Amino acid sequence: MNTDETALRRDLQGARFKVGVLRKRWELVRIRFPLVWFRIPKPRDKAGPPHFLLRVDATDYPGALTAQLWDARDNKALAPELRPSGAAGPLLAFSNWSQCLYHPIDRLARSHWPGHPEPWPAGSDINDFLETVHGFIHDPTYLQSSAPAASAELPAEPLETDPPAAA
Amino acid sequence: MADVIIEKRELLFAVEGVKAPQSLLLEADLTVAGLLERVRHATGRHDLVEALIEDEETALAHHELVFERITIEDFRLIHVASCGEITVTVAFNGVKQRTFKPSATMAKIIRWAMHEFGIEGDPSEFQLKVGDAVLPPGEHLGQIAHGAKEVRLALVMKIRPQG
Repeated sequence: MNTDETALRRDLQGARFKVGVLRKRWELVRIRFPLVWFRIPKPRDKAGPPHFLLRVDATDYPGALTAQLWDARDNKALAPELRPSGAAGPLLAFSNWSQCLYHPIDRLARSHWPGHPEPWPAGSDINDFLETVHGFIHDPTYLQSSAPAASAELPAEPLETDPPAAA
Repeated sequence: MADVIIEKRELLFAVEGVKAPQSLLLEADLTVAGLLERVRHATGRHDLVEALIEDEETALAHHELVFERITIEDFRLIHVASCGEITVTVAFNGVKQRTFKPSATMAKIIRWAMHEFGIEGDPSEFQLKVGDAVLPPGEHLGQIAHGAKEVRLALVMKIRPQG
């Protein structure tokens, strides 16, 4: 197992990640390293599917990450019209800009904010990333999403100590 | 004579002065007194004398069973703390101050600060910062105070990088 995968699996078994699961802020769905899928709930009392599926690319973890909201039905990025939306369309972090989150925490987007304080300081980990994305979805400007529940229904797999054997 | 098998369960908890939540595998029938003893032994911290449920004002009684106070539906993290409260100074347009238990969440302190500064609106529009670091709403005061009994925080509007 590579050091980046080992580091990620260690953090996914850590107390902070488990606290997030117990607080129902996120849940791990599947690891096919370097890709990892999580479910994050929609805001209570707002319209939308029970959860959104987030696909994270953890290449070079604990280096900076990149991610997209994902659609389990056809295994591709969640269509813009189904993403968490406010009064003016998809929330900014989920805008249809590129194949990543539109926010400096995403390693593919950070060059758009050259003066922004370091969004991924040393010591950051998957929990910081999930806290941030949870905050995007639970932003007070969230109004609704028309994504169906099935869009987040990727069958869960256990967190293996060892990665699955190569096919 | 048959062996008595005591079930063990994982307890997740916070410790005053330590940022990351901790984990211990403990007997399912452990009392709060037993928990404190185990945490003192694991950390070498003899100043840890009480356990509080997140955001509650009263410490758990030492005879209570720890796992009977943990609920999955409304999970709240236990905080193992030293004696006393932490004085919090929050800056916004001025400063306000009061003491909180180490188990107080940032969300609780935000709600108090909004009230004190006369701010109306959704608490999730606001964040607390210490230095440049934004503090997650579920984090406990005792986790971010580095073991000190006073801390200065800044209340800020939620930061949204613009496109």
